[in-house]
Amino acid sequence: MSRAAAVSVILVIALVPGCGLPTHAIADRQADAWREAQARVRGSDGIAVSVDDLLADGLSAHDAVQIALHHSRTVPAILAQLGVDAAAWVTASRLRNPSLHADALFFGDGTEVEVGMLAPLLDSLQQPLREAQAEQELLAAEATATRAIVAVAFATRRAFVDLLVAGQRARLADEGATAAAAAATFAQQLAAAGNAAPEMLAQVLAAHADAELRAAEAADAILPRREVLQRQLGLFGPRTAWQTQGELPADPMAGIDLDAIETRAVQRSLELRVANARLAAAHQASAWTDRATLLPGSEVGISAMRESDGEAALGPALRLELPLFDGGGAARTGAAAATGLAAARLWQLGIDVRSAARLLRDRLRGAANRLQFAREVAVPAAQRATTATLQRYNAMQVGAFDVIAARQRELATSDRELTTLAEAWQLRLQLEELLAGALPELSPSAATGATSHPSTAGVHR
Amino acid sequence: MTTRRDLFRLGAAASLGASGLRTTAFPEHGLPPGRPHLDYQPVLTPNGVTLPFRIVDGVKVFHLIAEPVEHTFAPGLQGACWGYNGRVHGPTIEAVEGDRVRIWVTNKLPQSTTVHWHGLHVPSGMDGVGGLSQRPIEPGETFRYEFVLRQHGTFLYHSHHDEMVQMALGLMGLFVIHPRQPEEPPADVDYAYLLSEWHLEPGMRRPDPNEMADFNVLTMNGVAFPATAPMVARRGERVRIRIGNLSAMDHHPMHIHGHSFEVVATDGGPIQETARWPEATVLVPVGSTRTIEFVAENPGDWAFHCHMTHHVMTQMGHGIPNLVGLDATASDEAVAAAVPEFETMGEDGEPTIPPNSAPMAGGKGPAGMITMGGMVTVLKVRDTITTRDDPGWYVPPAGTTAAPATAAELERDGIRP
Ligand SMILES: [Cu+2]
Repeated sequence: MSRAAAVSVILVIALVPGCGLPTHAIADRQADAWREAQARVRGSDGIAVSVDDLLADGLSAHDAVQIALHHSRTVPAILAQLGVDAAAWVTASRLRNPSLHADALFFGDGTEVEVGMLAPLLDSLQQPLREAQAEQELLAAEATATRAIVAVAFATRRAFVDLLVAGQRARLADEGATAAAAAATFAQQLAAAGNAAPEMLAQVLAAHADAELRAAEAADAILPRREVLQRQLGLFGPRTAWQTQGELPADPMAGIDLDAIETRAVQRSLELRVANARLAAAHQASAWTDRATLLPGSEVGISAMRESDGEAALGPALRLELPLFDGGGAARTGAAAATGLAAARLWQLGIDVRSAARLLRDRLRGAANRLQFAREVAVPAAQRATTATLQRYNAMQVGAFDVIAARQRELATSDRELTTLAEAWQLRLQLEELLAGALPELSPSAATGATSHPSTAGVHR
Repeated sequence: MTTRRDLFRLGAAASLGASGLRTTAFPEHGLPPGRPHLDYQPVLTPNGVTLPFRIVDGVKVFHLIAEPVEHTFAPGLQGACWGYNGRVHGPTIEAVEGDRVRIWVTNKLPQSTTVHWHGLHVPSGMDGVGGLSQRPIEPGETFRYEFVLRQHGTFLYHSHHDEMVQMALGLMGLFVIHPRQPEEPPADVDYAYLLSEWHLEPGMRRPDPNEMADFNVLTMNGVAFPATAPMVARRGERVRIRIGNLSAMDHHPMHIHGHSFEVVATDGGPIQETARWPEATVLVPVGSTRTIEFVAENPGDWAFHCHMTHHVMTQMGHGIPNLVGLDATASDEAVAAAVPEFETMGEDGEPTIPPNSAPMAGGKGPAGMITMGGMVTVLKVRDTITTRDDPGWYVPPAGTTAAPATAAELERDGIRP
């Protein structure tokens, strides 16, 4: 081979231009993530009217999701984060840039110039593997962003349910306070007529004060829940004055399909997609690590020189890293271990997704059964008890206090029904979120079955 | 009919006087059975009946069947009770001193029972105390009680086995024995009452035997006013009223209006004339009888009632606040504020009361609502009567009824209201 041919070969090897992922891949991934998230979230279509119009006639759950996705800065932030992550991987997919060096030495009789260019040795062999890895990492980043957007939508719906529940609970507590106030007024009238012992009056007034306090607590409990939703909607200033529309829908089982729930949850899982991509990426990383550690840090190139006397020469250049101390064995083992780790995580995640699907399905069914019992048995029974007490009141067997006490027991039962309805809706939303591809963070209550709800009527506590 | 002289001829007259047993020795087979309307004037049991009998070989044979009875205490108020021969209380047993009686008792109750002959001097084994005098009569069994009646007067019969439960459910009746040879002129009309008390909450069907203090249905012959049938007498008639009390826990001071009377006998026997004094109220203790007599000389409608005010209420609630001194609507307003549906309770907008309950008080009288219920009846004295049926309300002669004052009358008497 002539010298010129040898130099040409080296240049071709070192400087294959344009290899690696294109820059527009970043924007593509952002668009894909947003499109897929919208496909997975009901009510994620754009806002046809202005946000102010949505807010004006009462906020629905659908409105809230639209505003959270289209108006708040949450989604742009998620997509920007995807841009940040994607850019790193696009960058990592490219060939390493060659380096150019030039030296000039000034002698008395002239100047000696040396110019050289070096490119990483074997990078063009590794680059397709790095590009394949980056491709997988981009997939993972995109799925992560999709999941984040889905989670935003469901966090908004959950916050909306929380707010409705707090409002309904406060209304029940108000009714309890009204009943207690009626008892207090009556007791004061009895006392004024000389017909109430001080102890009785004190008891009734204390119960009234307690009921008022519980009603105030229930009213105050609305505020933090409202603010959670405000932040979710990204609203501030005059726009925070909206009111919610309607009450919690009565049937938390309406339109949800509980068949083959494990399979569907696994198929839809974005976490599993991420973990899958990460496993594939780890494979690729392991492969190029194997190659990269053959001649680590070595570069080839060309070197040109012009003597001070005008004689010039061209020749190949080589820089070798000597693997005396680090032969790359640990890096290769580490890369292989990372692949094993990614595989194990994928496996465990599948277990978790399936477990969550079963748990949420069964807890939703349980809550729905309890809700049905509360509605068809417990609440009517409490209502009949009030009616029977009223009949005894009409027959002058019992007094107003007994009727009021029966009413308060009835309200306590209604509060229990509301607690169950709220629990069922939260479970329903978690299950929907799971089927939309986002494994919800299972709250301790969802995991253990424990419930803790602030009591309003308090009688049943 | 055997006369008192016959008894003496038998050499067996053995009244032991006021301090001892008022028992007369009769032959074991008894005297010939006394006949109603011939040998005695039958007693009247308002709202009740007299137990029929037959004569078998000179013995008066009765049959009592202890059984569950669906009983009406007052209009609208029924009770799942226990009684005899389909009645609460059991029919009045009526016989004559010296009769030999054989009383068959069939037990159709779901538990064992006995019958005790309260006040009667019977052989110990006939006394009917479960476990003491006899073994109890099991469900389905029929027992024989047989003895000669050696006394006359007003007595009782009742279960003496699981007494608290069985008497609370109604197992009791009157046992009237007429004298073989009356020492005093007989009464023209002879009424008999058995007083008792029950706990039956509005809406309940079964009287509660566990109640010890709060009895809310107070009855005369098993019914509460206004269901009590009136007594009817012609002016000038001698009236006898026999009153037995088998209430669980309460004595009843029975008071008559417009008349005074003498207590002529107890379940211990007759009271000598020299030991009687005039009364208008007689306390009838639990587990006793009092017989009073008087001449009905005052025409009109006269209340005869227990004088304990809570005993002249039916299903009175004792758990309600005292509303005296309050605006009448105060209590309703409190309920309406707490229970929104209160105002539209009944289908017709009227307030509903529990099923199976009676108004606390109230019969409609000739001059408005009578604000009594429970242990109340009315003695109706008329110048002329043809039957003992209710003659309707008394129409007082003009000017003999309390009436609103006129200005002229007040002026005349110097009354400044
Ligand atoms: Cu009484």
